[in-house]
Amino acid sequence: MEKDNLVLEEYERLKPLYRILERVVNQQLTEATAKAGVGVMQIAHRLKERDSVSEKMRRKANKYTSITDMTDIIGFRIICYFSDQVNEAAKIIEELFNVDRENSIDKRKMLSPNTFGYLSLHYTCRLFPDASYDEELCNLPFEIQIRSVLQHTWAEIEHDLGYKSEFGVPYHIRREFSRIAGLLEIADEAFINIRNNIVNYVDDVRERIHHDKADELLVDINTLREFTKHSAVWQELMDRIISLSGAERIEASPEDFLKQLKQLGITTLGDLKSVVLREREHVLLLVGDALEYFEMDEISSNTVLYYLCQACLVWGDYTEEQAEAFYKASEKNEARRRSRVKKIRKLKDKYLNQ
Amino acid sequence: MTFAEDNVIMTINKKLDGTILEIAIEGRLETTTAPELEAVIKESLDGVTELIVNMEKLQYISSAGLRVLLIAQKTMMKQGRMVIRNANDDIQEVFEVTGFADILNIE
Repeated sequence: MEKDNLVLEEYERLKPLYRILERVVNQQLTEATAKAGVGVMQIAHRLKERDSVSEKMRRKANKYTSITDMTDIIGFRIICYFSDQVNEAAKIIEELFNVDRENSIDKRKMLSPNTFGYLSLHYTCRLFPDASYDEELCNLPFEIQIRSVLQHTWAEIEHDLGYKSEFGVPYHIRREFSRIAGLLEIADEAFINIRNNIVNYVDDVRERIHHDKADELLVDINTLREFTKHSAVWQELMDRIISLSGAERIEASPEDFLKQLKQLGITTLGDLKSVVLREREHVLLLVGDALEYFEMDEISSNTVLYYLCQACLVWGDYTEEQAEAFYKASEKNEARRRSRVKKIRKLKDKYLNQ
Repeated sequence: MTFAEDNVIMTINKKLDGTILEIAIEGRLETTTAPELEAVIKESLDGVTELIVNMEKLQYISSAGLRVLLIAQKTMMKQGRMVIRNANDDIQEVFEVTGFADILNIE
């Protein structure tokens, strides 16, 4: 008991230092995972409360002679979207911190091949000795757990239902937990598969656009994004607009224009390419007009899509009713719709009815 | 108030009715004139619950002008509301092209 009190006194003395450590580690983890582009859903952290420290010492009597023997006073949990990102995050941690191998556990490898359950990677770490940190700070251990979001779901529900109860759990409930763990492991793999398929699809789209063999591809968010980034005809138009306006090119997601392109009957990348080739001089005219009342210092593909749709409505075979229907499909605000239709009428008067 | 520099001219007219302030901008709102509008708005918003920006005679706007509108909008969100009125079709188009149509309250 006396020994426990000494450990608790040490905990209180070191608490401010633990708080500093929590802040330092959080900043380093957040920056490093973001820089490496690991898909991290959340980095959670906590400082163990005095009551939990006390309770742990009671449960594991005679294990702790110093507070630093308890390696999870500061605990971090990194939750990744995909299970293969757990290894990516682990690699970052191994480079970033001084990992105590003896006290680190890969619980994913602890289960035998025919059992399913808790899958997570636990690291015990310290800061690398650094001139900018106190030696005492660098000697404090902290724990980092890394899981996928599905592994996390399983562990949280297991914890919430008190599955680890010391009173034991009936066989059929344990079996149900194992079945769900197996199911989530398959789901984790399936999500990785879906993600990889999307990446492969986008790579294929990009490749086909590069080689001008993408005409039959349907316009969707991926194909439109890749077209506006990599199509030669689009780049040429963008370059001419940039040279005309002196604007800087910025990136923006073109998804808002999917509905409008569909409304104009542009359903494939081939349709879009033909419209660009047909309307590009008109787009330049409209941008030239806009420069009279608007200083464009930044330009995105969305700006070009805006004027491309406008050019279609002015020079294409569209009646005013069709222009109204076009804006009705994409614009809920009636005043704005009216203003856009009026603008089309004005442009038609200017360019077609001279 | 008129702010002139070389050929750049902008006129700002203020009308306060109780806690409703109307600011009418005339001419060109751009890099050289936007700071003046920002200053006028900043010094006039105390106690204002509704800011009406009348753009009936606004002919030109730059991103510096859009930024001032955004700052005013952010301030007014804490103390009331801001509305843009009478923007002509060209200026309206600028708001749409830049995405400001979704941020500003345009009547």
